[in-house]
Amino acid sequence: MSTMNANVTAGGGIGARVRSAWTSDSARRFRSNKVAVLCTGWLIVVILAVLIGPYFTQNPNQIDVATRLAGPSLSHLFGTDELGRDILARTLEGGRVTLTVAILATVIPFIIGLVLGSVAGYRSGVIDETLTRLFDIIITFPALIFGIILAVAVGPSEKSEIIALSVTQIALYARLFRAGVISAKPTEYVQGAISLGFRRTRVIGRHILPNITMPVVVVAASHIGILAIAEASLSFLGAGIQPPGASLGNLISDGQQYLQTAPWMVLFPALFLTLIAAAFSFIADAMRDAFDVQQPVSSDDQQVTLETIIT
Amino acid sequence: MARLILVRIAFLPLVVLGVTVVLFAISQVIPSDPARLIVGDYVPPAVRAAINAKYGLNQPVLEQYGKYMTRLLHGDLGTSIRYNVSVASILRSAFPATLELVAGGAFVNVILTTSLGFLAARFRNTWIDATIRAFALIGTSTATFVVALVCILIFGFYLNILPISGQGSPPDIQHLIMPAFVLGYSDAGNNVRVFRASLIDAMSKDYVRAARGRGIGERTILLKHAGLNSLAPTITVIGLSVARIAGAVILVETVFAWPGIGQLLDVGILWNDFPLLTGALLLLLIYTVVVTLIVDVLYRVIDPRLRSETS
Repeated sequence: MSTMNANVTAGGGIGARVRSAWTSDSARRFRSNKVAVLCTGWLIVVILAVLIGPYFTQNPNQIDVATRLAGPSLSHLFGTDELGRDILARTLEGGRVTLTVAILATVIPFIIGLVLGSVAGYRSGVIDETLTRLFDIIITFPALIFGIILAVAVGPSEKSEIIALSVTQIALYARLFRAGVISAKPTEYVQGAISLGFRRTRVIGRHILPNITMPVVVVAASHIGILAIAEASLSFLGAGIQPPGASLGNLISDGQQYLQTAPWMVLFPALFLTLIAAAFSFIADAMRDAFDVQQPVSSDDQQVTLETIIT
Repeated sequence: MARLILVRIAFLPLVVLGVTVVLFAISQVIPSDPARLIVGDYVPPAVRAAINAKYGLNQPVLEQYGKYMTRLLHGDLGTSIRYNVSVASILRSAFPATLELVAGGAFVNVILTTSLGFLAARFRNTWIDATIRAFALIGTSTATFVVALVCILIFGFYLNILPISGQGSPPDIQHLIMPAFVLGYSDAGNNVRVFRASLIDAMSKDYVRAARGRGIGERTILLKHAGLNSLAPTITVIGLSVARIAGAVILVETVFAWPGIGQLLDVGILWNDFPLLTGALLLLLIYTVVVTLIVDVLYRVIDPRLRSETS
């Protein structure tokens, strides 16, 4: 309910909206969760590090055969790889790529799912029926396998990963939004807005969506971490970012054959990836508590929450 | 229920059709020269043309697709470019190894989910619960291949108590332990959370209060009354894990050099072996659809309340 209050009171432009979002009960509950605050801080550090870090570290592709497979030291905090490249620089570069793919592959299907799901939920009948069947088919398609198919067909790249991961996520968001719109449509405030003669886009955009979006945002937050893992998995298998480009996945894949002699090649990128994914997980958990997001109730939606892990 | 099964079985050819159409469509949109991928750049165009002719790649798209589908319906998946033998025979020899691994993974998953779920619910809000939840969360936010590599590092290299690659000759149980554990753990985290949540939810129901009123012990209530009622959602999540394992199995087999379908996919990506990839992916997708069907049926068999529901 507090999310609704935040939106209702936010009549005075973006400044007021931000202020009320910051002081709302939900935000206060979120801030009182120490783990969540810690994770948020950590993610801010990570994002700053991958954006600004490259100005302070070596060139991630700088080859120096003299110091190949060197362990962690002051000049190379994370050690070096088989070509003497600095693992810290490569981890930051790989982290940037992995995070970019994960965020885009969450935002793009979120927006497409919002549109398709709202249309399907608001306009029942043939349109809803057709779209729902389409979602059913897409959701059975494992993301990793689709990623491999696309990589093989169009050549592996950042773009092929984003497309593959986005397409497989659309159905998830569309189903969540559809369920939300269907549950909100018969309520009084929506019926009131309809009877006032507002256009369809206004009813959906101004009245329904502000009240049903938060649970989906929580799902999306937890999914960024899972998609970071999915990206790393694709790159690990060679169906993602290609060398010399770095992704946390292909860094780990490179280090695999030196696991016994130079474990830092695997451990640092792996730890980085795990901490990013865990942070999103914890934040999503705290958001779920803070915003009092109800678990979906119908069996159809339960299916959706069960599909949350894709790798 | 018979209707549900029939609908799902009718769905199977649709999946095959969908996958093959998508693969073909994508491969046609993107200009690529498979002959160049097979023999490289430094070969006269005439030789490349001959290779294209041999594989029928110079014919119209629809004709190629028609031929592929005709062969597919006869059980002929084409010839692997890497191994130069029929894809069907390669898949046939690799599939048992994958099934063995999947069975091992499913076993580990069931054990972890039920035992940890029970413990977490029984000792709710104690340090035991907190530890199990952390273990589950680490499981969901660590990439499968990272867990695999860390296990290899610890149990293979440092402790030197488990073999790190292959199936053993002849295949033995030691070689199965680590891959099966990693596969089972990769998806157990979420299942533990679902089982714990549904147990706790069941413990607040009236029939549990009634059982307490009759003086039945807390452990018996948890195991018999709440446990049985939480079985349906738990079997569903475990079943869906077993279906989704198709994705994780690729990663686990790659890391542990397990001679199954997943490793063939890895080889296929590396060598751009299109027939091998299509065959292996098709097999994994059919596996996913079939297991999902079994789960759907099992779900209704176990919980009589759902049988009357029409879906």
